[in-house]
Amino acid sequence: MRAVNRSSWPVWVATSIAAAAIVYWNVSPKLAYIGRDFVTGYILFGLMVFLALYNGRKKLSMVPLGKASVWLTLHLAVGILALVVFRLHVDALWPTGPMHLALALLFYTVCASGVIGYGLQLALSRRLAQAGGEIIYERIPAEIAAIRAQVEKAVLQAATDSGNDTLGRDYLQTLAWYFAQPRFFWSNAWGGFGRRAENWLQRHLHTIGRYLSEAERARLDDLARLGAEKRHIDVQYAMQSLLKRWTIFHVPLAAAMLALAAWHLILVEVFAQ
Amino acid sequence: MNDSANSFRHDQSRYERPTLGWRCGRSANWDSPCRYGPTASGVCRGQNACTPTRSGDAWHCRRPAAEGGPCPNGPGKDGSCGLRRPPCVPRRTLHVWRGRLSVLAVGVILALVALLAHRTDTASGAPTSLDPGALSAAHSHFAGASPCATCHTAFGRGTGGWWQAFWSPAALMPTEKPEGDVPTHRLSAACIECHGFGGHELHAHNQIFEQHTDLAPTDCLMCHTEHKGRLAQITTLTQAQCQTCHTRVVKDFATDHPPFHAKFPYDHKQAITFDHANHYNKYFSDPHMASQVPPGGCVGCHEVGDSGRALRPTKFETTCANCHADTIAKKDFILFRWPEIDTNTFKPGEIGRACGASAEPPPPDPNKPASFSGVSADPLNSISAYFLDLPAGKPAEYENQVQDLARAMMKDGADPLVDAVTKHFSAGQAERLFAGIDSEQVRQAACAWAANQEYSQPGETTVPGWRADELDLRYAHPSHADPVLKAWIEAFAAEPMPEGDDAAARFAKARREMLSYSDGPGLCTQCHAVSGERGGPLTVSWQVELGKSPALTRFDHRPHLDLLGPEKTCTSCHRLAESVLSVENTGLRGIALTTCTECHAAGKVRDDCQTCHVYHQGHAFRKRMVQDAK
Repeated sequence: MRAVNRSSWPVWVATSIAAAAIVYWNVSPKLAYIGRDFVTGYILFGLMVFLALYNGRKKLSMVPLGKASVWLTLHLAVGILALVVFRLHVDALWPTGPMHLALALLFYTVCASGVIGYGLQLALSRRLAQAGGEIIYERIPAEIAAIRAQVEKAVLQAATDSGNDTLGRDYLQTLAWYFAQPRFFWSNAWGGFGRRAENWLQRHLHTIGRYLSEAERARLDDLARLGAEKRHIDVQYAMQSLLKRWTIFHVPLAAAMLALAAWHLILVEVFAQ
Repeated sequence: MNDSANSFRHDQSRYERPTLGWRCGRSANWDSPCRYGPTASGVCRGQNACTPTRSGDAWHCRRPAAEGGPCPNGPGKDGSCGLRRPPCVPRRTLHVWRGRLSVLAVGVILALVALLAHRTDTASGAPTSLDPGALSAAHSHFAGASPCATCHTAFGRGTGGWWQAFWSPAALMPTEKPEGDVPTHRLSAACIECHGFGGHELHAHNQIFEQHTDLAPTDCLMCHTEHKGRLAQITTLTQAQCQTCHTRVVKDFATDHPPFHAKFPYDHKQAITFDHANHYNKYFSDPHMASQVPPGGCVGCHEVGDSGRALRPTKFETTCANCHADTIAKKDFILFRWPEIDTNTFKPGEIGRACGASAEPPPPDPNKPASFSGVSADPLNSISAYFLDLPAGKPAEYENQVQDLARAMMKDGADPLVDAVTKHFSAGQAERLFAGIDSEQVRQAACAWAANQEYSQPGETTVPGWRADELDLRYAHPSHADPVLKAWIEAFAAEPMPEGDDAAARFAKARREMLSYSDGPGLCTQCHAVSGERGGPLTVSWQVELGKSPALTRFDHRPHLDLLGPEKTCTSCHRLAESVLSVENTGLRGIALTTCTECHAAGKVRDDCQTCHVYHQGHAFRKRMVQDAK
């Protein structure tokens, strides 16, 4: 899902205008300086709350609150706007004071994790489309279990047909590792498209193939086909896992930042007003 | 997958939801999950492949088609499923873990905030969740035992104080308000508890501009914010801050700043009149005066050691006296001069009774015609005429009163004259004006004048101070800055013009004689400026006045002298005037903007507003602050 496309230009134009207006207001000599930090602070806090609503929007998917793609665009645009307002509010890269430093550190970390997450989304969604074999993430264990069941059935059938257990022993020693769960995670995640898994599988199948009888070798082709099927699932699993797991950092950090920002707001209202 | 194995048909796939809280334990171990999945509370529901139903006496398997349809064994006789499996251990989903981590993160933050909020002793360096950053160096030194409460009135008042600060901040305004305006902001109120100014604290530049009466009140926090660290410059302003009010945009000092006025910076009369041009070009270059010229050029007369806004001239005795000491001592102050008398009103024996027989003049020669020729040919001097309230014209108009004064002086010495002066000046000045006067000498002089003789003082006649000499009562001042002569000049200058044309005319003439820079005693006003309204009280500037340059500006000579050296710098900015006293009484030309912009310009030396301008005027610490600091 892309946040920058032809249909999202109104959001980006509005964000640019808002950012320019805030910057102009902040530096304009025509306007009074009193309360500048308060205004930018409250704007920033409001933007943070709006950004947090994106997570709530996901939970309320049954409620018609607009398209998810629009929300993503808004999340990204408002996030960039928040960076601009943060810079105006702090008036430096790093503020002073331990609490302010912690708040800034959390803000930067959340921003960085958000940028990384969006980058992953851009890169991996394209790769997922290239890889093909779309699959629901939650169904991957069942798919792997089903493939494994077919593999084991083929191995048993080979033993029955040939009266040899060569393929069965080799399966237990090597191929069972591959079919037990998704493998070659990072290779698949960073664009390997299962090539490393394919090499591994071909090497082992070729090796064992030399020791098999004709009857067993016929089943070996089934194993190769199922192995390729599982390789596609592994690629999907690796990429979808990254797409889901980066939020494990982003969301909790954002929650912590909001909590600390709320404390900061209370202190400001009590002591600085 | 989107092939047959990934079919979404109801009889071939489960309804997957990413937002469920639990997932099947078998699935977590990469095994085939059960159809039902865990309950909402995380209990496995996959022990039985189905829940058999009873139809009549028989139990029927209800295993769904997606699981392979009815099992071959079928349910047991008691209706239990024939395909029982051990239960799995359901696992939390990623969604739940993310939520838990979020709660944990918030909890950690709140715990740290709560834990560290009790540590209020920021001075110890211990971390606290209330610490917004270090104070600037200037404020960190005097904040005291409870530094936060010095400015933040809500500090140390518990949650009640916080609540009050949040909802009714006005209640926490300082109860002891300094004089002047009452700020609306608590922190500004705290600022002006210690910082005082030469005007209104909350008005622009601490004053009301007559042409801008509609200006909104200002506030300390508009420009000054604290807790930016010990090294923070909290008084530094930006160009943009200045131009919040100043609508003329000055982005570049060299091109945008309005030009200086023609007399800048000498826009008022200087306390000491000194014609720099004449001295520098004429006298100091004269070879005959080489030995008297202060060495070192400008710094020979100006002290650069403690230079700041202005360079104080060195003392008269070390510079000016080389040439001017004799000139000053040359002209005595004559308070009274025995005037021309046409008719002698003293009776025979009268002087002898008052002054002694030896003072009695010889009786007139009966063989000569009865005529009187006074010893003096001068009219009554204007200063005496003023004090005696007499016209200074023809003898007939004053001679009786003058001879009456002489009679009184023959009896009481200087007292009648002191009384006459005291009557015209403010009380309490007689001691200063007549310090050191010898009343007996005055009495003897009066006796001589009454006897139509000049008084001749016995002994040394060149001792400075009051003395009677021939027909005068005069004051010979010994040196520069003589206190008695200063007192006389100040008294004449400060006296307002008396009522009545005659009195006013006599006073004006006497004051003119006294303050004349060419003929006055001591020639004081030749250098010391006299200021004030014509005919009204005047002020004589005895001391050099430094730093009396335009308001809200500043200048420091030190960096300029350090950079280029004193001899090079002075005349590069302070150019000598071509005509005498062209700018006030300095002999210097005004300084033009271009003089400054030679160095202070974009890309050269700093040229922002605060380089030369200050915002506040008359900043000082309040007494309370000083007392608290002790």
